[in-house]
Amino acid sequence: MSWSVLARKDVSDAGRSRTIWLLAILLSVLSVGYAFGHSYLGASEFPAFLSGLSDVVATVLPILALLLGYKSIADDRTSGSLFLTLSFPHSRRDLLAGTFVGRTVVLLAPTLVALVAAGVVGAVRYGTEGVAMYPWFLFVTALYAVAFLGVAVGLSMSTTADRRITFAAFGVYMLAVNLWGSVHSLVMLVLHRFDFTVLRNMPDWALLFRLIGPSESYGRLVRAGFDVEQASRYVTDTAPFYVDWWMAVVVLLAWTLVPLALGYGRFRNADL
Amino acid sequence: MVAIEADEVSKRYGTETALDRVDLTVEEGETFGFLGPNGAGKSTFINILLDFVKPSEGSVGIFGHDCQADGTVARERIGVLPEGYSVFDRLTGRQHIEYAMRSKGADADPSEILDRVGILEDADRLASDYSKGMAQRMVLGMALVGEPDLLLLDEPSTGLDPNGAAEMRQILREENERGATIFFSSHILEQVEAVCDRVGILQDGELVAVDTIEGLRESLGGGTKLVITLDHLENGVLDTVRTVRGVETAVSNEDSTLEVTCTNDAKMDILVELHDAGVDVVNFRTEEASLEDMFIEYTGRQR
Amino acid sequence: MTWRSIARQDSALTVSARSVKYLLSLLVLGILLLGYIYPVVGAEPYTTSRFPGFAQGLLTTLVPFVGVLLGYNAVVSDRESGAIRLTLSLPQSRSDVVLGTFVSRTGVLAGTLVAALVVYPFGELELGRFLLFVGLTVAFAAVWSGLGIAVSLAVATKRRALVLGFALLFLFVLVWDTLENALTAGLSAAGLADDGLPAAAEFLFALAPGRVFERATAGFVDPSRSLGEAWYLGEWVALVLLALWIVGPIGLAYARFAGRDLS
Repeated sequence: MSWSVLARKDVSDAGRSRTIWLLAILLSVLSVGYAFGHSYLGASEFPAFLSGLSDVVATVLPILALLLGYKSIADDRTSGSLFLTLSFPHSRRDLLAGTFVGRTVVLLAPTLVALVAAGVVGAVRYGTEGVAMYPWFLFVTALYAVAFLGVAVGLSMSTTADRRITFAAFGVYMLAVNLWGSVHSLVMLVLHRFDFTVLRNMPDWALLFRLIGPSESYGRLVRAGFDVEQASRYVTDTAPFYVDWWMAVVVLLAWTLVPLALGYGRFRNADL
Repeated sequence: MVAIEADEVSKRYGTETALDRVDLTVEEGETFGFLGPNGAGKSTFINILLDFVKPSEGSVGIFGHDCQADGTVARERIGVLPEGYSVFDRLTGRQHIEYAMRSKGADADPSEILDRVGILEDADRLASDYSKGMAQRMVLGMALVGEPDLLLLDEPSTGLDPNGAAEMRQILREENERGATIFFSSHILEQVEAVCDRVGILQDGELVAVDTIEGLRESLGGGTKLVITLDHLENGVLDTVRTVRGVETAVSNEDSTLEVTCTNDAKMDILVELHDAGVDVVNFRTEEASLEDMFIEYTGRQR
Repeated sequence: MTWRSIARQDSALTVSARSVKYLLSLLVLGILLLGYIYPVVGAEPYTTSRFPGFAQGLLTTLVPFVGVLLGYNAVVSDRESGAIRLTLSLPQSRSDVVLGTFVSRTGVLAGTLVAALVVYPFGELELGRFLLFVGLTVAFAAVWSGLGIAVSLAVATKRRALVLGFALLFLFVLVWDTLENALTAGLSAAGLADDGLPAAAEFLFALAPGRVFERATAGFVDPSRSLGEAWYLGEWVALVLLALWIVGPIGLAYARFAGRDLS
C-alpha cells in the first residue's frame, strides 16, 4: 500500500501551498456569494439556482484542478526530490496513484464543503423543492473536477518542459471549458458551407462530438437531474441513444483516465 | 584608489541580523579573502555589492560608485562569479561568453577565454548540460571578459575538483599581476591562505578581524600550538587545561592527544598543571599555529 | 544601451522554443481563418476598414492569452532559477532587463500579428485606415505582453505569476461581459436602475483593455460603427487609456521589482 503513503505526503504538501488555500477561499466566496446573489439574476427556485451555480462551478473548478495538478510531478522531477521519493521502495505506479489520489482529496475536500454551504444557503432562500437531487449534483461536480485533475496529472507526467505543460494546461482549459461549443459550431459551419441552419438541427454524430466536451457533459448531467428543459438538445425524441446521460459519465471518466494513462505511458519509460 | 569601500553596512531580515555594521576597505591591486563559516553573511555582503540586496543601513561603493544608486556604472569595471546562479537555458558556453561581451561592450576572443578556463572543447555544448564545475569555469570566463579592474568571486571553488581549484588560483594570480583587484569569499582556508594578501573574517554578520595573515598570526600572541600525548585521557583534563592563563583553545583529537593553542609563555604552565593533576604526559611537541587554528579561534569564540 | 543585448538574446531564446512557435502559429491561423470566413459570413461591403469589427472578438480573446503566456515567465523564471544573478552581475541595470524583455516579447507578438494581418489583407484595401488598425492592434498586443511582464516582475515564483496572469485574463477577457450583464440585471431587478448602468459603472466597465481597444478601432478605423454618446466613451479617451494600459502596469511592477532583494 505504498501509494497511500505517497498520497498522504502529497495531501500535506499541497495543503501547505498558499495559492491553493487562496483559491479554495475564492471558490467558497464565489459559490456562497452566488447563493445569495442568485435572487437578482434568475428565478427564485432551487433548480434554477442550481443551474446558475453549476455555470459558476463549471468555469472556476477546472482552474483549481489544473493548477493543483499541472506541476505535481514535473516540479518534483526538476527539483530532484523525485529521486528521493523513488529511492524508497515506491514504484512509479505508486507515485501516480498516490499523487492522483492525494490531489483529489485536496481538491474535493474544500470544493464539497463550499458547495454544501452554498446548497444550504440556496435551500433556505429558494425553497427545498428539488433539494433531494443535491447529492447528485455534488457527485457530478466531483466527477467533473476529477476529470481536469486527471488531465493535469497526466500532463505533469508527460514532460518536464515547464512552458509546454503550462501552455497545454491553458489550452485544455480554454478548449474544454470556454471554446468547445464555439469550435464545434465553427467546424459544423465550415463543413456545411456556412449554412447556419445546421446549428439548430445538428446531425446525430455531431451531438455526440459536442457532448465530448467536459463542460457539455457536466451541464448535461446536472440538468438530467433537475431541469430537463435545459438539456433539451440531448433529450428530444430524435436524439440518438448514445447521448444519454450515461454517455456523459463515460465522457468524464475518459477525460480522467485517458490523459493519466498517456502520461503514465511516457513517464514509465522516461529517464529521470 | 579604493576598490571597495563599505561604510557601516547592515542588513536585517525582520529580527534576524545578517550583517552588522560592516566597515571594510579594499585597496586597488589587493587580493582580499573574505572568510567565514556558512551563514556568516559573506553572500549577503556580496549581494549588496551587486545590488541584488539592498542594505538596511550604510552604503557600499565600488571604485567610488555607490552600488545601489549607481549600480550599473559600478558593475562596468568588475567581473563577477556570483553564487547560487543558474546558467541560461538553451545557450551554449560560447554564447554565454558572447553575451557577456555584448553586455560589457568588450572586444575579446571567446575561444581564447574558453581555453583559458579550460572548457574550449565543450564550448558549443548547451551550458545547461554542463557539470557544476564546468558551469563554474564558464562563469569565471564570463567574469574575465573585458579585463575587469575588480574580480568579485563568491565561493569560487564550489563544484571544482582540487585540480580545477588550483587552476582557478593560477588564473586569479595572473589577473592580479595584470593589475586587477581580487575579492573573494570562501569558507575554505587553504585557498585564502594560498593567494590572499589580506583577510577579513566574518562571524555572525560581524567583521571580527581584518588583517594580513602574518598580522593575524601575531595577534594570536605568538601563535603556538602544543600537541600533548597523554597516557590516557581522563574526564576533566580538558577543563583543567582551559583554566590555565594564556590558553586560547584546547581540543582532544584522538583518544589521548590534546591540541592546545596558547601564548608562548603558557606552555610550561600547562605541563605543570597537568603534572599537578596527576596526568602522565607521554610526549609533547609544539607547532606554529596554522590559519585553520586561527579561524576556529576567531569564529568559535562566541559559540 | 545594454537593453538591446538583453532584448536580442531574449527574443532569440523566446522564438526558438517550440511551445512558443505553436502558440504564435495558433494566433496566425486564427487570424487567417477569420480572414477566410469574413467574406463568406460578413455583410457587404468587404473592406479592410470594416474587418476590425469582424475580427474584434477573436483578437480581444487570443491576443491577451498569447500576450500573457509569452510574458508571465519572462523575468520570474530567471529569478527563480538564479540566471538573473548572472544577468545582473554584468553591467546592466534592472531597468535594462525590464525594457529589454518588454521590447523583445512585445516585438515577437507584434511581429506575428503584423505578418498575419498584412500578408492577407481582408477585402478591399483602404491603406490609411488599415495601417491605423495594424498600429492599434500592435498597441493592444503591447498592453497584454506588458501585463504579462508586469505580472512576472511583481512576484517571486512562476506559479504565482501564472495565477496572477490568469486572474487578469479571467477577469478582463472571460468574465468581464458576464459581470457587466449580471450587474445590469441585478440592478434592474433591485429596481435601482432600469436603463442600463449608471455612468460611473459604465465608465468602469469601459476601462478594460479589450473595450478600450474596441472603441479605439471603432472610432478611428471603422466608418460604419458609432460609439456611445458619453464623452468618456470617445475614441481619443480610448487612445489615452490604451497608452496608460501599456505604461501603467509595467511601470508599477517595475517600481516594486526595483526595490526587491533578489536572494
